Amino acid sequence: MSSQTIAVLEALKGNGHTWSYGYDLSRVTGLKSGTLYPILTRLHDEGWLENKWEQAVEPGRPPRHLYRLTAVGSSAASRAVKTAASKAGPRRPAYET
Amino acid sequence: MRLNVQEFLANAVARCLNHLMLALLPSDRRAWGKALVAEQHEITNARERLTWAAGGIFMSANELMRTLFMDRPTWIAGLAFGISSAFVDLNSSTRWPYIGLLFTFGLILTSWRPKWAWRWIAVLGLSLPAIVLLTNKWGPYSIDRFDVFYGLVPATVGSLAGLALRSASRWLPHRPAGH
Repeated sequence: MSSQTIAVLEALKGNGHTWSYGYDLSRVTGLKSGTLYPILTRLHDEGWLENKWEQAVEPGRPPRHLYRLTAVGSSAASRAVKTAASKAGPRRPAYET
Repeated sequence: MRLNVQEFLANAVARCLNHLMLALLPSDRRAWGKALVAEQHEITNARERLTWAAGGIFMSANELMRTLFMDRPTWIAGLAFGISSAFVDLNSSTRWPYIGLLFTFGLILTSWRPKWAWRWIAVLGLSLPAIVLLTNKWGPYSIDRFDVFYGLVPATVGSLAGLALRSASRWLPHRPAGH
């Protein structure tokens, strides 16, 4: 699993059961839309992510897509994040300047 | 004033990119494209909005490539059919076996997998030019080299026949199961 996917999973997991917007996920993870949306699509295909449309409050704006992890996705995300952390190993401290 | 012009241009380009992205996306992914477009309304910075829209093009290109190459068994079958037909043509004194093979293989592949049938036409019809170019042995095509592409015609006709066959099979009466 790529580090970008792990970052998206961490962001979604951090929100718990709350729904997240794509733009907010992009800001939290630092991923561009072209990287973020294929990841979200793939997670949805795997059944890890659920989505829904939210009607816009302001008139003239399109409905927005919201995302959150499913129960399966949540446990799989925990495992994936843990595995990624163990693979990365202890981080080397930064050089003192 | 200059800022407004820049913002106007950035918005216009972003709108064009959105249209292109939605047009390129396979129909089963279009909702995701619409979701990406909807988020742009939350971005206040014009340059950031433009980058976000450009990301949509990247996503649709990604999806397009995935859909294009997702049918691996048919790709492998198409390549095998195309290469074997090309070898038959290069070792034959007439063109008829090649024409017949490409027509038949085009028909089989398209009636088996009708989605984006042009892929099978391309792989069948371009196998011979690819082999000839790679080996640099033009054989019967050394006089008129552009003639090597003529296989695209029987492959196209075969694919159209395959599509017609598939459409016709829908109109045939089906026997109920269990009889």
